[in-house]
Amino acid sequence: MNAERFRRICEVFEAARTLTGGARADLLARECEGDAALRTEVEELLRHHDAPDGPLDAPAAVSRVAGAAVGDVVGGRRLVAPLGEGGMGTVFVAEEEGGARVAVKVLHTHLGASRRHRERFLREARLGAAVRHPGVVRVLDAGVDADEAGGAAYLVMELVEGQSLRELCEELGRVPEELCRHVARELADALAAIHAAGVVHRDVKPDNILITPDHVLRLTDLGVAHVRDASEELSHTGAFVGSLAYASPEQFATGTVRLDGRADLHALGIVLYELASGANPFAGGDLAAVTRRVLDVVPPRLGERNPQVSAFFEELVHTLLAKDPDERFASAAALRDVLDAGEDAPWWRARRDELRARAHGRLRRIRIPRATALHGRDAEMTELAQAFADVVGGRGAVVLVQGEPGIGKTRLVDEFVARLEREAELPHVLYGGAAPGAAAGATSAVLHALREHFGGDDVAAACARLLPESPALVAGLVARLAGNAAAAPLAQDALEAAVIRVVQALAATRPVVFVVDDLQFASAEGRALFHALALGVAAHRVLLVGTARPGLPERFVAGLAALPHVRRLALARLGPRDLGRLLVEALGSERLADELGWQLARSSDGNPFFVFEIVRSLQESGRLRRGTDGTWHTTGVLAEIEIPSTVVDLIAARLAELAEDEQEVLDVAACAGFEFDPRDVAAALGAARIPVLRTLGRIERRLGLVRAAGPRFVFDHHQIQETVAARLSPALAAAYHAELGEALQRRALASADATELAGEIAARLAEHFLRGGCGDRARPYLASALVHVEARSAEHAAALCRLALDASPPPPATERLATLVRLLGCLDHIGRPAEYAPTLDAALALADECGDADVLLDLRGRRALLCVAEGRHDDAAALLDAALDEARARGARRQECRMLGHRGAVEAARAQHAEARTWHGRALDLAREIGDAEIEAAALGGVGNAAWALGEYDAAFRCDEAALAIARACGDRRRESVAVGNLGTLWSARGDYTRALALQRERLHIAREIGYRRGEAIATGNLAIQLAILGRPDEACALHERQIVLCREIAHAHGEASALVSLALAHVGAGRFETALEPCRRGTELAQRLGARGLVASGEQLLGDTLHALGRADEARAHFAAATELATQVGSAMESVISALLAARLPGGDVAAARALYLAHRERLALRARMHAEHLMYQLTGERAHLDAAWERLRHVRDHAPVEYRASMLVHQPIHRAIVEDLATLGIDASV
Amino acid sequence: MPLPDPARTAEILLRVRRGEAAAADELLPHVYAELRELARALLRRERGGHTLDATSLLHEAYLRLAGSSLPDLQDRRHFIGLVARSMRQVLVDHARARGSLKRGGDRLRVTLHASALHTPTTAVDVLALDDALTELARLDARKSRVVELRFFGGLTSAEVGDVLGIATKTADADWYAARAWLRRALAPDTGA
Repeated sequence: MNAERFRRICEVFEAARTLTGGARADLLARECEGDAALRTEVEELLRHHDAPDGPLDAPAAVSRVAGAAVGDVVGGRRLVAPLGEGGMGTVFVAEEEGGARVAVKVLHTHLGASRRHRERFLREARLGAAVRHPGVVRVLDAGVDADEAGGAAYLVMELVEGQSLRELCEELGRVPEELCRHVARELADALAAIHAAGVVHRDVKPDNILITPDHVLRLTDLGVAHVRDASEELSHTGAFVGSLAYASPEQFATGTVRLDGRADLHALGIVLYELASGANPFAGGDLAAVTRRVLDVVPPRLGERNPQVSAFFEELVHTLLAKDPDERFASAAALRDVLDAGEDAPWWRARRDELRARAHGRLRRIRIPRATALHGRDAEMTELAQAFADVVGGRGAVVLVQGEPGIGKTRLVDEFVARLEREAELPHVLYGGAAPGAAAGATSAVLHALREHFGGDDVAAACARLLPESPALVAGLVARLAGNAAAAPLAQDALEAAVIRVVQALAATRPVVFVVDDLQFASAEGRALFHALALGVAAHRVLLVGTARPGLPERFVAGLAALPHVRRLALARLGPRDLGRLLVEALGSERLADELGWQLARSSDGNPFFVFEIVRSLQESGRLRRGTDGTWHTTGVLAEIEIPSTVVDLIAARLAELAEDEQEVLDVAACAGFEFDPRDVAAALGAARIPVLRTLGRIERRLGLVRAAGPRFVFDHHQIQETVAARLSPALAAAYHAELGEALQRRALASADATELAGEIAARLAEHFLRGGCGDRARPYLASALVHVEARSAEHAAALCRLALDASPPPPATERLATLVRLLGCLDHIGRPAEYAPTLDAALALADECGDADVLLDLRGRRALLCVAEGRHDDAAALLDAALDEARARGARRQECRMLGHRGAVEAARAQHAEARTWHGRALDLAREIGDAEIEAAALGGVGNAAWALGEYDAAFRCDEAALAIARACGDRRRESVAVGNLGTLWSARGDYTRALALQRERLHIAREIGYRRGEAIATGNLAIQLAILGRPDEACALHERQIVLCREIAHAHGEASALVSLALAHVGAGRFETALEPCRRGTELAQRLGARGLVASGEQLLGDTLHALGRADEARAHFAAATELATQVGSAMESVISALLAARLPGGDVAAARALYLAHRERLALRARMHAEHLMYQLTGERAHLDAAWERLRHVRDHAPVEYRASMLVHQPIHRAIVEDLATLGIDASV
Repeated sequence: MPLPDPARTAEILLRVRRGEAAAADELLPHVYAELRELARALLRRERGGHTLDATSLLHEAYLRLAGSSLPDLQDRRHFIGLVARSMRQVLVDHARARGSLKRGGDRLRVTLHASALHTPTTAVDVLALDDALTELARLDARKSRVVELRFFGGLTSAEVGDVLGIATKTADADWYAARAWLRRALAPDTGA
């Protein structure tokens, strides 16, 4: 066969493919005339093409297809209600024939598919059923229903009431050791029974361990784990990956290793670790990350995560976590015996001695939080390693590690020492830290280290051994070590000699690592001793490491650096990349690190200690909460991050060392800003520039705190500036600000005209003068200052407005009014409802006083909008009608335009969309007439919304695109974001989800960028809805919850109601019907109170659907009726049709009425709604045409969805699933 | 070789879209390396007859390399085209490695399950498929490519058309013909 021939064959094949029967035969006869071989080839291909199944259908993702639903009879038991979802199946409460209640777990269909799997499953289940133990939930029965390839495999178990350990973990955070030991003991006993029956559980995890109301522990889910293993469900569900975090290394091994009970012990170890420390050490990240951890990473000692655990428990847990099964306990029974005996167990006694023997070589663990691995210090670790290599080779080395407080010096050294434990020859490790204010113990750090080293042994004997030829020195040293210098006084240089000789002697037996921490606290003698040691170790196997903050005397450092075997390490701030990695690890979530990253980076300026302190304070104040998967989530919106007190202490300590003149300079600088010009500072102080520069330089060299940055200076951290500024008395601060304003103004006017001063300069001048109590001097700059600031940050602008309003002397009324109006705009933007209303009142009163009719009208418009937000539509309408009359009477056309728009908003809130469109249309015409682009864009948006609500999508498109163009042309980002969002919703309605998703994300991004909180809330909701449509209900739920929080904070009740209903919808998409009920009800009630009928209709429909799914058809009926009624009132085609169809499905439903509605409205339905409706019609009538129509739309939707969402859509979009299933019963494979 | 960050990936794809053939070559080694790593991680739990889900592998690789930084649909498609090509190679390599572990006798079958129900009739021997695809490429390179994109890449006909620059109908036609031909080649009862 050659290419030409093949081409011909394919040609004929293609032509014949779509034909059948006679037509096909005719074609073949025609095309293959005279070429019998050709005909044979083509027929072969056609045969393979026509085969109903066979290899090479396009791959579909492995999908979880639920094996059963409520009402089915499985294994002779009737499923009554869902109980929960696991990674492998759904658990139901079921009723046996006699009425007894049991739990039935129905496995996902694909898991029971092959006969081999089924046989193994049954075999294991029967083995499991043989286990009878109070600590194990009994397996009563197991089987596979029906004979088709996809029969449901099921497991029948005792129905047990109780809380899972997972829930206990969440409740307690960290479980006290007593309770942990109890859990461990009970589980060990249960596992012993299971193993004795010849079964390995394989799925021990907190979710599978129940505590009954009588506090009895029961292990459940026996017999299911191996099915998962055998079928390799490596699918998208987090459930499997979740189980993976409890797996033992041998579960990943290739082929030859057989699993035994010790795998369960490993899992138990993880459970205990999690109980005691609050987190699973292997969890987090994707499949590959978890796998790697289980196989390679040894978790940190339990004591580091929870210092209160006993050494016994810590060692027990780590024995269970050994990678090699042989190193774990031999059996569950053995573990149980150890737990029964406690600290008296022979196992512990042997272990304890071993640990103690090794402890000598360990660095005493310091109170440093070790929440994450060390990041960004690879170069420094290498240097230390090299130094140590030198030492082992016989050449002494000294390393001086310098850096600002909190940068991680001690952490670095500690990490380095920890790695030393892998060395072939374990070194002596001595550690001593100088303490602040320890004047008396001049050499305390070094001596402390020696004392610790000798431990409990006889110090005198040890010293004598090390210094055989100098008994006098020995006596003196011993006395000093005992803290009793007077007993055998020793001159300083003799002491130095003694110490050096001791260290050298130690080095003769094994290499020595001697760490002296916090040298900056050491006294002169202490430093001299260090220097002497540094000299003395030159030719010995000693690595001397000293850490120090800035502030070491120059001569000392220089003297050390001059020695040939001394290295200096300067630890710099973490760069953004390392900081990012640090955060991801500390917070356990990339998403969170992303969200908080920039705030934390700014607040901490790359200092790891600050980062941890800030994170810790966020955790302690509840702003960060840990979720079920062990990762952290923000609760609420983190507007500002406060400085934790320890960081303040850190800064205060540094500030305390400032001389008076330095303090003064710094104070003024702090008022000048984070970045400041020394000239301004000098001018403000009335000093010359050079002395100020020198002072700043001195500060920088000695203490850090500020840094030169080109011709200007900048504070080392934002915190430092804030702390310094906070400590100033208000009067002094005001005085400084006034002087600074003066200086800045002089300088600015020297190079430009007063009238040209705008933007940044104006903003700074305004602020300085306002804070300096010279309100009148700020006035000329205020207007442009506000414009400039508002463009960057509404918060900042609001603050500036308030400053201006409170200024002394108080500004004239007209100015105050203008500022108030501006403030209102800012508050609206940010979303501060509590402040907004009183400010509005104040503004209205003032406008009245001033007699400014135009402003008064605008304000009344704002008042009307406030009413709308609160749901008082009639009040709003009345207010606006009155305002409109007045505006027309006075010929105030711009105001009239705005009022028209607001009036439209009222009608939209009432769900009277046709009216809304009329109003907005009028506003649009007027806006075009008077040429106001901003109002035109707003009006277009309003018309578009109305069109959308009425189902006229093309019209809506045109409006929104026009609005977007105008918004971009004006640079109005808020309007831009709204238009972008609307377009996204429209694209979604057309089924182009990819574009919709991108647009919704863009909208969210813009809203965040400009700090527009209401927009952010709306955008979050729309994005969530889109994700739910794409089959990602969990992501959608998370976003909706965030949306609810946001809406509450900005008191946007309508948004909150909408979010609640959408949240419920997302839960339904995930099959969590029970969970959906509450938010749905709450949302609907809230919507009712607000009079938002359209929303109520959606809520009622969803309630009906959910109740129906839960088997409560009677209740459902009432809700559907309500939904249809409301939807008709409101003119919403989609809701009324779908509700009617859904209702018709119930027993006794009115199919004819539903069909009539369908026929009347079907052309107006958007893509998804139409798909849904067609499918429902098919279910009601069985007419194939409907199913085809639904399928056509489904294909369209799928083809236009982003590739990575297709699989999830199939799984989590109930409509998609239903259509595919129905097609499958007709023999059509629509899963592609 | 350090992994390109998503921004860089997007940039390379832009060049691919503009028609710079060399650009695709830049990305391939990364894609290949990434897929291998993933495959290894997923396949570590090897036992007797094991299966591999090609699509999740591909989605994983895509997410890891490109993240969500490719809002443009076309870029995504081109990228997936690249991934699909690498995917085939990864799976073949894996199958060969497994095969070589057995001393003498039959090589171990590595199968791709192509549908939600892991029924034996839909399993495909990877090495046999690879051979068949190579043979197909000899006869009609484009059809072989279509198979790669559809089967390994999960693209629809419309998308395949977009990547290869042909009409959707043509992509469809290619697919059906190729599939029939391959089924025949893989069928146990024919000698072809």
